[in-house]
Amino acid sequence: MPTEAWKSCLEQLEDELSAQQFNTWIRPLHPQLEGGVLRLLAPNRFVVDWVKERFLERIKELLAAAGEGNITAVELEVGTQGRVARPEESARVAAPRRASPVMSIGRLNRDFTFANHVEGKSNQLARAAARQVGENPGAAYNPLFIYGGVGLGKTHLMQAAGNVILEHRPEANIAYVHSERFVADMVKALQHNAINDFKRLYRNLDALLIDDIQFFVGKERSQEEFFHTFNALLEGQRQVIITADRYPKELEGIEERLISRFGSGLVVYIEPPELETRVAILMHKAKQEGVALPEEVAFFVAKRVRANVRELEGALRRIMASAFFTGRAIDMDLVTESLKDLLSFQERLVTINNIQKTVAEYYKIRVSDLHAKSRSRQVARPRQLAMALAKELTTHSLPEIGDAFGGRDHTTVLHACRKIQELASSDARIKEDYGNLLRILTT
Amino acid sequence: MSSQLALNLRLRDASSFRNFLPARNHEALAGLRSVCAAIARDEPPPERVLFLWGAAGSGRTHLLQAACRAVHESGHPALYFSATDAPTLAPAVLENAEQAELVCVDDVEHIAHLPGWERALFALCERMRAANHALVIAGARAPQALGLELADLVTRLGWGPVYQLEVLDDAEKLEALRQRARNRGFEVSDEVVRYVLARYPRDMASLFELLDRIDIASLASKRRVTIPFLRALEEGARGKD
Repeated sequence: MPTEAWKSCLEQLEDELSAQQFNTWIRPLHPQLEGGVLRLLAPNRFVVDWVKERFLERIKELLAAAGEGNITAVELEVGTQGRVARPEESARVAAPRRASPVMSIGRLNRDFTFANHVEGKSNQLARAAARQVGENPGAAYNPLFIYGGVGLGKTHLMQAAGNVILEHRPEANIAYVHSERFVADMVKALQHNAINDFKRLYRNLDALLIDDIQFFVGKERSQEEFFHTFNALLEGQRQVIITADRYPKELEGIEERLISRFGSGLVVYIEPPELETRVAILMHKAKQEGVALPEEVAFFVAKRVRANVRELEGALRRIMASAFFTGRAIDMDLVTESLKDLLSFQERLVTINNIQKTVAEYYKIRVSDLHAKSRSRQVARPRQLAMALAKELTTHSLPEIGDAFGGRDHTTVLHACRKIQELASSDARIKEDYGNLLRILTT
Repeated sequence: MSSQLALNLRLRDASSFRNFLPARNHEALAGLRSVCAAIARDEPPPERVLFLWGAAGSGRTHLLQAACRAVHESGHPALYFSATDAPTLAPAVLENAEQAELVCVDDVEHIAHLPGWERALFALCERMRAANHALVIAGARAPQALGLELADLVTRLGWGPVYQLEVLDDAEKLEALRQRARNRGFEVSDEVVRYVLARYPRDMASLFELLDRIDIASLASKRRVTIPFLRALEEGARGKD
């Protein structure tokens, strides 16, 4: 309940300070008047100190001038408006055992299920492994280590496995925690002398899902604590699921003993989704939102937004918002209009020249080698890869691509595309190179 | 003394949705307003993350501050932070920010290459999502082109609708300046606005700042805003140099 004096103080400060200062420091303060004391609640200690040092004197002067004699003192404190943050409606707290007021444990999001996860070639193996773990926690694969680029659905699969465990055992004590949060909570526990509570909280779990473990890089104390938690859970046959953006051995800055533990269960990879899966994801998400998305539109978007599922979802949300606010149906016109900045950005990014440059750098050859007649394996394979990438990533026709590679015939380009497709399923090296180049060019 | 007096007489005209000229940015405005309206009604926001980008003067800061004002006026906590402040502050300033039902982070490109800040914003994205609160981010470029090092952050910024804000063209600038002057309680003729557009920095922030100076000077001297008045103002400014 803002008092009149506080309101007039706000108005005055809005005039006196820059808009940036006012909005950053003053507007978020929440007033509470209790027995003559005006308490101004700020989100954290940093804001309290900042406001105290720079604005408190002026606030006091203005309040005094506003003439409400009933305010005898002004205090700044860390606190909230008293409105309890609404947890996600669909989220459910997985039987947390609260160890201390400073600590709470992450919960599972009930929206992440296998039913609303779209399966494709790119995530088949990881999905099957996650399902197995959900059905047989602590027994099938422990730990399960899922890795892959950003926004490919690692969190979804990990939580879906957790939700299956909960379905079978609703009383199970399961935590989902992002590594960043684990580190922050541990630091907080150390500051509050509550590290034993922190340990107990994690070691009493039936399953721990820890996301984006690469955030532990360089955090030695957290790694140490995590190592012991991890061992305690594994020894008690409790399930641990870990995700990372890269293969365990590539996690530089993480202790060797942890890395070897990560690899002791099952390690699975999620690849960027291929076109058909991207289309299926768009159709699925649109259906979830109750929106009719023409297949032609889904293909158009999926062909252009390739890097990850989050961007795909962002594009869809933009299209749906446009349709809603303009009252138009979702068709090609609406989509090209509402995504024009995104599309022009993608197209600017991926040109044949850019692909040739990137491929040449990757294989340490010259761009001119890609144009030249030479058929030596050393340049022929990179050239074929570059052609296949040009076909996949740009809207150029086969003859145009042929032209850009030293005036080659379109059938040569077609052959290159087929060859690379064939090699990608039989030659692990080519598959990896193709995947890496695709990632470099699209993210 | 007289200018102090003039300051007190000015009409308040801080950024709000009412004094934003949508021009070609009506969809972005509608998207943002729908988020604020949902918060005011105690409903979950229709978008949990919204990204606005555009050149300087395209209205990013105006919209973000207007959104904070709207949410605050509806009795809900809102928080605004400009990343231009990042180098002089510590990431701890974002602690518990997720308690606000709306958090607006402006000028986000300024945290690129500040690893502590990139991680802090990433962590805030995660906490906001878990709390089901709305995060609105604005920057000079689209999320992928901000030069951020943390890929996890980039994809989270583009998880919802991304709107490019278009800079106003001359006719729209003219309208915006006249509207702003009217809100301040004075009129400027088209002729005056054209004079200003031809001679001064043309981005909206500079133009509004100029309008502020004109407002104060005209109040202090009790003169109408005409081209001779502006010339006299310029003379005065040169005299001071």
